Amino acid sequence: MMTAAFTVPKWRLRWFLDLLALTLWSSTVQAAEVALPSLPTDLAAYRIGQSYSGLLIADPTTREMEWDDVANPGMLWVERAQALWEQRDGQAGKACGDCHHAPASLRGAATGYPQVAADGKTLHTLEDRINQCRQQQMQAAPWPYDSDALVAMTTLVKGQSRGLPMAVRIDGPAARWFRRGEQVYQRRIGLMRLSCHDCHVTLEGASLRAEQLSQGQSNGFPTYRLKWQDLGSLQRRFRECNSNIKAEPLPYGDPDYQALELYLAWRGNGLPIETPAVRK
Amino acid sequence: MTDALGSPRLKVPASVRRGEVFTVKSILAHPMESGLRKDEHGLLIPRRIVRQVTVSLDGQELMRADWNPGISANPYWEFALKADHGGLLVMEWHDDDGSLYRAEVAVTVVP
Repeated sequence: MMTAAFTVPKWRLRWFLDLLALTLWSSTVQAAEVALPSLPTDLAAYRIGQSYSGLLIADPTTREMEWDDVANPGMLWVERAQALWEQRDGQAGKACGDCHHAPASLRGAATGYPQVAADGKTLHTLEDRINQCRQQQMQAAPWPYDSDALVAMTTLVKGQSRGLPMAVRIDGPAARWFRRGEQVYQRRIGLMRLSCHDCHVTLEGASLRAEQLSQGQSNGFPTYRLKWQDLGSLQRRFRECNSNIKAEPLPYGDPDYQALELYLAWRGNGLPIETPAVRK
Repeated sequence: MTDALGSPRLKVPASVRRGEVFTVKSILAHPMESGLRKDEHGLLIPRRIVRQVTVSLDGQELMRADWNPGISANPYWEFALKADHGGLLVMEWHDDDGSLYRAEVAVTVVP
């Protein structure tokens, strides 16, 4: 038939598209000094079943800020962490890059955090894992929990998984931590006797003065908050949430906060990692 | 990021047509401390802002802007530009304390 002569074989079309994608990819890498894998700009990607990212209820200008690597202030920390990545530190005289090569080699690594450490007992957030690497492999002092360096390195590592779905495990040794996290989530605390569950499940979507209550998902942390004018860890956000409801904030790294991080990550399983997210 | 100043980023499209209006985007890591806030001991935190920003293309000054304490930390600034010829676009941030942060990027104009 005549038409058959004009039909392009599927494999050839596929090959052409791959070549085109490769060309576009290499040109963007050359253009930008720091680059993380790009985020989907289709809002449907930020809703998985019942879960949705806070990005969906954010102001459109905030979304644009998050998606644009020049406008996103979190990228300043990524840039800084890239310098730290190559910097030798500690008794062993090693840098992150000596073992892990390019940061991109850690794509996918952050999707499973928090997770139970090799000892089968402690729960490691990504921050803990980076500090463990510093102590054991580099023989360097751990960075303080909410320090600029640790937040920056966490952002660089987690940012490599941008766009990949969160996938933490809550079975096996993690089950104990998960149950504890669930209890922390349900527990009413502070002068106002509020739990995480009250605001982020029962009243989710309702207005809190001018704000809409989100599901409190953690897929974008460390997040640049315009209110902070700073990039901050998830536990910094917990501490802020706690003082907002007139409860005593716990210290960084408290087992309750660790467990809560796991519970939140499980609630957001499937949502794309947005680090560094931008929020009001 | 108060201890990691500078490292400004400046971005323009890869190439622009002559006379085309395009967007220039810039961001600078800077605390933009207003001088009005107090620390935990009730003492004023000294002011430290970027007071002036200048932009030039191919050695010719295009604009000069005075900034004020109300501008947020890590200031992002974008503006529209129209160029008849290419050249080096230079942006300079003048700090209160005399420091100067500078970023440059080539603007390629095609007919």
